[in-house]
Amino acid sequence: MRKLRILDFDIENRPLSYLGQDYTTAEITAIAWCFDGEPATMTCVLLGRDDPEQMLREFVKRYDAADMVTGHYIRMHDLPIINGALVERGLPCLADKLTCDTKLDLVKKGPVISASQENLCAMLGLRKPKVHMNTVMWREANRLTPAGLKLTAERAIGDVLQHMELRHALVARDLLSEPKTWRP
Amino acid sequence: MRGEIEQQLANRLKVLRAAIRLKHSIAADEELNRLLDEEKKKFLKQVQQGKLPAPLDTGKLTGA
Repeated sequence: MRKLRILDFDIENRPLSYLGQDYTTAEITAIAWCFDGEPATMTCVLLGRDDPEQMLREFVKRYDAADMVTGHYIRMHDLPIINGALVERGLPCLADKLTCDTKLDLVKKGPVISASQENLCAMLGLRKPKVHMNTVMWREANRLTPAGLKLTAERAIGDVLQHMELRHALVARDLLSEPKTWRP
Repeated sequence: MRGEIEQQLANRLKVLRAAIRLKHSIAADEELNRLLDEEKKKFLKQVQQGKLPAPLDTGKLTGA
């Protein structure tokens, strides 16, 4: 039996330009990550404090070191956005990776319960709180002011901490389907 | 060239051989479908828990 390294992560992003109508392009403002069972590895890189290319490189190092990555809606949101940012900067794409997506891999539930991270945690009686942000706080965060950077970091780290607890609870209750390989 | 009796015997043995092979093949498929599905679920559950199970021992499995 070998212990697997599972990387739990989350990104925050802000709109950067209009695509057409109300659609916007995304720019990563933070990436928080932590290896499951290794709390000392919790890290958060921030746009406005850290070099944007270095943020991506630091994340990719951990991504490559992981046997599996996990997060909420990562296959449809976080991973494509990170890969897009890599492409934009002329860096290599992410490698194929085994993923556990706690939104997309949740057992079928119909329109009975909400699959948001916060609602799942509440339903399962978990303790780690969601770090809430209102529009004023998001605007501060996305302006990359010192106070805004602090908010973004708290939000991203809070989401990773909450997600680690959520994934453990879902696995223990057999509420997740098999992990799936994500390909960029 | 075979005589009729020799040919009849050869045909009979051929049919019997095919029937026995088919019987065991169907039984093997049924067992495999059940076992592989169970093993896949067990393996992936361990992966979700952050553990990579040790490889299976062919000798132990076949009783050798």
